[in-house]
Amino acid sequence: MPDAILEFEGFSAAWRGRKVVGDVHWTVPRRSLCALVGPSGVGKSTLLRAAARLNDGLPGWRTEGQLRVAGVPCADFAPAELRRRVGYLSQKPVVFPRSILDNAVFGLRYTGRAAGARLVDAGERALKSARLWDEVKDRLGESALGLSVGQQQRLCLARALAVEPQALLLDEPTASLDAVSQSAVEETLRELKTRLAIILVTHSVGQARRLADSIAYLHPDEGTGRLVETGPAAQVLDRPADLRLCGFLAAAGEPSDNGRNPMERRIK
Amino acid sequence: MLQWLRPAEIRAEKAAKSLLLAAGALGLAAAAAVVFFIGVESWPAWREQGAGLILGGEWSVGEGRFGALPMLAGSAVVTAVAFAAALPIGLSAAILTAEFLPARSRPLARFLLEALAGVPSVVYGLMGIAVLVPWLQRGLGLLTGRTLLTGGLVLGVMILPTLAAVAEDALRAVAREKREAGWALGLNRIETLLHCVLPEARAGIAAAGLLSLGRALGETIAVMLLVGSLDRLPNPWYDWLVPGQTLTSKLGREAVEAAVGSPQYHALAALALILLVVVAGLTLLGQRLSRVEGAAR
Amino acid sequence: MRRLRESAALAVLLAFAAPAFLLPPLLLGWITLRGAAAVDWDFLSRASADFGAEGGVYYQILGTGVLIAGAALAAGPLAWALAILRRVYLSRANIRRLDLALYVLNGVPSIVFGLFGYLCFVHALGLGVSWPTGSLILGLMILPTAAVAAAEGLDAVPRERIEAAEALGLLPWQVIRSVHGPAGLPALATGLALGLARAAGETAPIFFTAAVFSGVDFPRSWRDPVVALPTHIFTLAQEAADPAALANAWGAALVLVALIGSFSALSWLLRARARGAIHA
Repeated sequence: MPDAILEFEGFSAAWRGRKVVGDVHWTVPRRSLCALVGPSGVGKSTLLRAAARLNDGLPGWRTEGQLRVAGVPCADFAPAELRRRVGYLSQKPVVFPRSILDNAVFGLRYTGRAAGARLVDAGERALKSARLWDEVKDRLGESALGLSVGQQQRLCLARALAVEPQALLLDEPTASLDAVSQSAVEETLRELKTRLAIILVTHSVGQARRLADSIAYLHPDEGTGRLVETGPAAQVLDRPADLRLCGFLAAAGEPSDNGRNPMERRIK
Repeated sequence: MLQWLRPAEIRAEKAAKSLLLAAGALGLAAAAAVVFFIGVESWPAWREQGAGLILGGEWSVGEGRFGALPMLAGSAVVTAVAFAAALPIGLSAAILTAEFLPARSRPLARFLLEALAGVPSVVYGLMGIAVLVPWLQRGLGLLTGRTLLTGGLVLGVMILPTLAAVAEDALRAVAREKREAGWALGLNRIETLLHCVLPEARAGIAAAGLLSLGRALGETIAVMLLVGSLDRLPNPWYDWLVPGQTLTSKLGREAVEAAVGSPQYHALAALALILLVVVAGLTLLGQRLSRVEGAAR
Repeated sequence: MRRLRESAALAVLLAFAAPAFLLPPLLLGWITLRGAAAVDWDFLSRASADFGAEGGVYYQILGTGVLIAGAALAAGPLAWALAILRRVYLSRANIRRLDLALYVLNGVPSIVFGLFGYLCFVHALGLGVSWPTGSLILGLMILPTAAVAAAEGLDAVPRERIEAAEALGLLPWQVIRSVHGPAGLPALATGLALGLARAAGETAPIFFTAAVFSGVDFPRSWRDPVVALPTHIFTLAQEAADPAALANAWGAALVLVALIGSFSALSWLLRARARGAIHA
């Protein structure tokens, strides 16, 4: 089994003629968490959605280059197959108008992977992984719409985990959450990255520092997002090789390790 | 390693897709079948008589001559009367509801306007027969109260709800800014209406008119009961207090009588084809107009 | 001067608009008045006799019920399938074709449906004058209404919800079962109720294809015709000279209008619930 789970090779995506992300060369190893950072609107979400092939039906959407999952090119899969290996979570939690348990086991039930008692057990396991079980175990039958945003997002996480993917694509999962929910999700991610490959899009450099094993930086280049630097987290954050990443980190108000801001560190 | 797509799933997906596509084909086929059947069955009549079918003034089964002119004239008269009656009333009601009534009363007004829409045509026919026919007969000293005018008047009441409702929708769809522009210029309500609102709502009101026209032309039962069922051209052309015949009433009366495959049968199919083409055309046009207006927004 | 013109114009508007608001209560009241004289429990529960001059409309009510139940069965699943097909599988071009077919179908006058039914179902397919023929024709008539309503219900489902299901690896058919289907059903029900309200009152499509005036009570087989309210009223109306027949016609008319009214009310209720279900 090849070590890398997600490999982008010369991957570009264009929409209505405009190249949204260009020439991405990137390898995300299994059982690690890679944070994808960059300024707003650069294309981080788009890259993630492209990886899950969620934009396939959109008119005017074109991709080039290769994306391989566990060594197999994406294009060889049916989209449904790909998404069972690679889970995706959107920024805003999208919950189905059903009970909490039904939401958690949604994927398992409708793909026919489990039924009856096995379904309920799987749901319990998923909810525990997402650290939501204790809060909902007494009201599994209630509508999921009654949960808070933070709980809904964790429910979506549980739902994605229930289908047992090999990798997870998370698009700013804690962006709309309060501090308590955010730390619960981060706890979960810390545990998950020992089992799965995770790409975490985040606008919070602090979150990247807390969770990431490696970091990839997407920089806007005349409307096209390009991956200009990747590497181990500590290295990229403290001694960024690319000047543009320095600028980004400085603007993000990155606290330095010895009182000097990232620009100073780089120059030194 | 889990199996990613099970064969059972793939089978189910394919089966579902095939079933749905079959349903789609069935839907398309049904629409095509109606037009096709009527067209094919009417072909012998067209071949036999050509334009004589439309222009001929006499419909005689015995002599094998089938002229649709009295029916066309009858349909035209009845529809014209209905439209002339319904348009001023319906449009005024629409304008009143959309522009002058307070917002609170609007639901009630709409309810009143549309309340009669659900009354079936046979009940309209009954009302016409029980009330209008004797009244006209006695009041105007006619031989019979079943005339083209009677049919037209009742038809007017029938299309009134649709006309008023669709027109009111069109008026309400006009953006608030257009009215405010008028008020800002110092125009009063009537002037704003005439110069700012009505021009904007033109397409929607035209749509309302076309849809009602289509409905009037296609109406059968009420007309059958009230129009007199006599194949004759109004003579003079403006004398409508006489019995007559419309395309729909003719079809209603003779459809069962004609032996399948006889010349009469083919001629009736030809009448149905004319009716179908005109009404479907009007309805499509009306629908397109009301959508264009919506799209332009 | 302008003020005077405005008031005059308003008065004219009011005068012209008045009939539109006054006729409905007038006519409905008239129907109720004349009909109530004839309707009582006996009327509703007895069979008609003496060619309608006596007795009630029990079997006519049942006949109408059978026809519209059949129409719902014929149109419902097909309308649902068409709506799903349109939303999930069809290309833009094909959607336009399907919409065109539905619009054409919607514009066909009811007598032409009757004629088509007579030619195609009664003769060509050999179904004869029977209640299935009537149900098929009525079903065809209400198909566009039901399909359009269902399609609107499906369109109301937020895009993110569909994507969330797809992101879990569900195949299109599974997304239909889990997301689209449940969303489309309430809207379909609304459309069906609306269509059935119309179908219940239709005379032309059934009066030479499914309904007879007398000689039948409850259909016992696939080939039996029925007696129905609209055709009953139609035939009685033609004997308007006979006051007994006329009175019964009014009674039947009241029953029919009440039936249609309740279906309309049902569709209203369902529409309100459907809207609630989407935004739940």
